[in-house]
Amino acid sequence: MNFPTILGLWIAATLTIAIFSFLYKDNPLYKFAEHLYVGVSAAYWVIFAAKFTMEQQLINEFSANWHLYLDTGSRAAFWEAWILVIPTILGFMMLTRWFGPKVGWISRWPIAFTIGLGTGLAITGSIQGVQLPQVQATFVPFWGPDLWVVVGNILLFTGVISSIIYFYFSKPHKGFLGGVSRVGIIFIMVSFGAAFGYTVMSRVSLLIGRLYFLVYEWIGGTIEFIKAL
Amino acid sequence: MKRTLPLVITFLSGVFIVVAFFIPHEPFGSLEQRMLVWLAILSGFTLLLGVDSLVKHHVRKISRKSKDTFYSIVTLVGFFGTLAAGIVTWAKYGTPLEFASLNEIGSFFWVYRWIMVPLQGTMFALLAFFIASAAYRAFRARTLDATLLLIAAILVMVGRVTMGVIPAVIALATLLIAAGIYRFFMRKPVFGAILVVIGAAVAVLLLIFPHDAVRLAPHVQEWIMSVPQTAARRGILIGVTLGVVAMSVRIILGIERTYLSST
Repeated sequence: MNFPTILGLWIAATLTIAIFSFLYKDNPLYKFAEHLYVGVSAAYWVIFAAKFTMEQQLINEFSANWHLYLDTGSRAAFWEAWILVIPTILGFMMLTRWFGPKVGWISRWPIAFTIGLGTGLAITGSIQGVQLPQVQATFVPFWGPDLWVVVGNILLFTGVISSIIYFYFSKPHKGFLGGVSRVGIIFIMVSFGAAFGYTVMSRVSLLIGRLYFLVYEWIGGTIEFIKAL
Repeated sequence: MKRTLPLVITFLSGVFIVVAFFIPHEPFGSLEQRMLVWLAILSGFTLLLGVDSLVKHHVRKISRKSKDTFYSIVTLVGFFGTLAAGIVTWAKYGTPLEFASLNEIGSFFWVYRWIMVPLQGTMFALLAFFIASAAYRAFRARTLDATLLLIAAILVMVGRVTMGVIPAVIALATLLIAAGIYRFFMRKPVFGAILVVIGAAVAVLLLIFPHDAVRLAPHVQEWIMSVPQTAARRGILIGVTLGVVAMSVRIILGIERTYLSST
């Protein structure tokens, strides 16, 4: 174990304890760690976007197609390269917000373009990617050799229909509609409870991971480092 | 020009994507993928606006000498330090995330490994405690709905902790009996009695079939996740996507235009 690693271990352990100190109350140590996290993660995402979006998807893509055009004279490669100018110009238009409202209104164009693309993709994506597959998966057989599977399928179908009806507010939930929506609430409650339990377990496993780090990696690593000296 | 043109751009780009979806031939066939790349590029530029806002906010706080000046300095030092580490590593190795081995890592990856991961992991781990306190408020078995929430959550938790099934089931039974007794004396005798009976039944079943409880717990958890949980989640998801489609159509047609109000 070298010096940068042992230094990293100690910094990581100090920051871990600083965050856990919030369990006592809001304190300067926690605030320090919290503000450091904001700064570090913002810079991380800037570098990440610069490398994996701007370099790989814009600069490298342009360069590769441009060189292909120069080497082979391919018109397709020429257009593949220069079409990337459109999102680049739109990107720079987005930055006009820096110069105040006199010029900043230009940023509405890329915003409008982004919103238009987003809504178009949302319509096709949510219908093709979510609604149709989910509806298809709901129509399961109500008969078969395995009784337990059949009961599960009936409950699944009932649960989906009643949950949807629970969110149907165009008519008052009385009579038959009220009864079905009541069944919907039962399913929704079980679902929320299960989702809650699932989240708790994932958070607890994260907690175990951090405690494991403190005990084995930090203390164990430090002992190992001292022994090696 | 300032309001109408953006609405026209939204309409054309939205309709264009929907129409392209139905034409599986070039150049329309790969349009969706291409547009996702364009969105990613645009988001890269947008990130600069966010960073600018963050830096300006903290510089302003420092120049005003407010009481949190020190923490603003910490944020800026963290930001520019990490940025510098990323640029240096990128220049040195050709990629910011380069690491030769765990002991010889680039400075950017070092920051990621020893500062960002512990901070992020501990932040989320901290939620375990707050979830526990939220559970205390949400899971008080006041009504049938809250009881269902409680039982489902505990069964899922029990099923996911294979080592502690028996203690967890004992805890569940104790909780149910305690809640039932409390309700029994708090003007809800029937509901309280039902809870006590369920809790007692769970305890008796555990005493008679301890090995089956250990064996069945993961299956019960799996069944809850795949049947009632999936059913309600699917119902909600179908409703949400219907809402997404409706809202998208409103935006494309220019009925919903609040996104233009911020500039």
